[in-house]
Amino acid sequence: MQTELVERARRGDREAFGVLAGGAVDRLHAIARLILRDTELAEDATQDALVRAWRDLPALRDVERFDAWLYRLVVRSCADIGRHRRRWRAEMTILHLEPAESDRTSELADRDELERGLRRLTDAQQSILVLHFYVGLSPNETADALEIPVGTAKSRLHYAIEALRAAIAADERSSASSVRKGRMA
Amino acid sequence: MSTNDDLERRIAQFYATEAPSRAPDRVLESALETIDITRQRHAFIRVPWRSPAMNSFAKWAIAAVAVIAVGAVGLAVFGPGSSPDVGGPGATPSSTPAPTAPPTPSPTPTFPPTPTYEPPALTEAFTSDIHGISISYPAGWLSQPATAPWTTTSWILFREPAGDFLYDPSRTDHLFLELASAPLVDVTFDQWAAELLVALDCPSSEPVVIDGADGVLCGAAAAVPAGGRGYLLALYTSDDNADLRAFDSQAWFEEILVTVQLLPENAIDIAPSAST
Repeated sequence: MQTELVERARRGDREAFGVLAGGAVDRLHAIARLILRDTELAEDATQDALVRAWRDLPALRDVERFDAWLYRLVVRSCADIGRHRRRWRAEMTILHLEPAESDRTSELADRDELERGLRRLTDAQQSILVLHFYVGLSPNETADALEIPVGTAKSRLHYAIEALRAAIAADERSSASSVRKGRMA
Repeated sequence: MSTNDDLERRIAQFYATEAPSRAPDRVLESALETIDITRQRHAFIRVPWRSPAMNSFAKWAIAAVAVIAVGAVGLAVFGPGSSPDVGGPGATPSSTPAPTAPPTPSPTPTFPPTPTYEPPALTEAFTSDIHGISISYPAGWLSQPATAPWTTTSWILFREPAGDFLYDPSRTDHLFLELASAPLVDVTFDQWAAELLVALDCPSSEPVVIDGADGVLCGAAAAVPAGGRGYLLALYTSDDNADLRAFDSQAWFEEILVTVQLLPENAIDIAPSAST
């Protein structure tokens, strides 16, 4: 069914593409939101990926790989938008929330800790984590979607996890230091 | 301390709870509005890098002048006779390329050459079983004859049964010739061709004569009438390959078109399969 729609859309059938886009938009938007960590930018990236998909669909060689190809496009759109964002993000100060307070559950603290850690990762690291842990792609599928060798996908995933672990550890040290300074003041 | 598995589980859980379940309606609506005014890219409809009026001789002549000019500058600057008075007797270039001989490659290129596809000679002949056309194609290429009629006015995907395909086996769907024809029923050729060119997202077309018939050419795609039929001929070159991107596919396509014989009397319009 999807294959037929993709083939029709490749020939310029906008209605068929509309059906495909309708079926993919929620997934692409979720991926973009998780990579970019920003609602508005995620909407832009999703729209951009869908327009790219329509424009370049005649060049898709294997219609069976439409889904993987869409993932590639949304990751590219996130990367493009991420590059623009970095121009002004450097001016921003990362807001450090205080560590778990008495009225906050440990689950919430855990989530905040991960959120801060993920924000410190590069877009490429975020992308591979999202494709693997959210979309559920295997390293082989991730490599296919990103058009990189399987070995590169595996090592990139490994280093992304390590970078997140290091970011969380650094965040913990920074928070502990802030607390000590606060008590001394 | 968190273990690897623990951190990975936390990431997966975090994404599962953080991911929005639905995109706002405006996301799809806005994308579809843009798509309504966006053309798709077709690899055989490319703006030719050369002027349509430029012929092979002119290209060789320009190449010859370029090679000689580069050589002359190189001699003037770095040659044995070079001196502060650049442009002296030792640096006199020849300014008249021999028009009858192709230029020889420069022995000292000053920049890396752009890889460009070298089209093989058109030594093989293909005659369609059902579309009523014959054409020359390169040695080493494979053919996949059409087995079904062409019933739409749009291009045919690689190896679909409605088209005759001649292709480079090492590049398959990156480099191929596509042929098809259909009877013009209750429609003039101009109307049919106009519809086809819209389907091909052709920005503009130019006249072309194929086997004595007046048709239209758009990049490396052509439409031509003969014996109450409309013919589509196209050379597809993928932009995925750098050598094909740099290749003047329209020029080669026009060379291929010279070999075409339109044989509408041999065309067979097979009844569409009932199963489809």
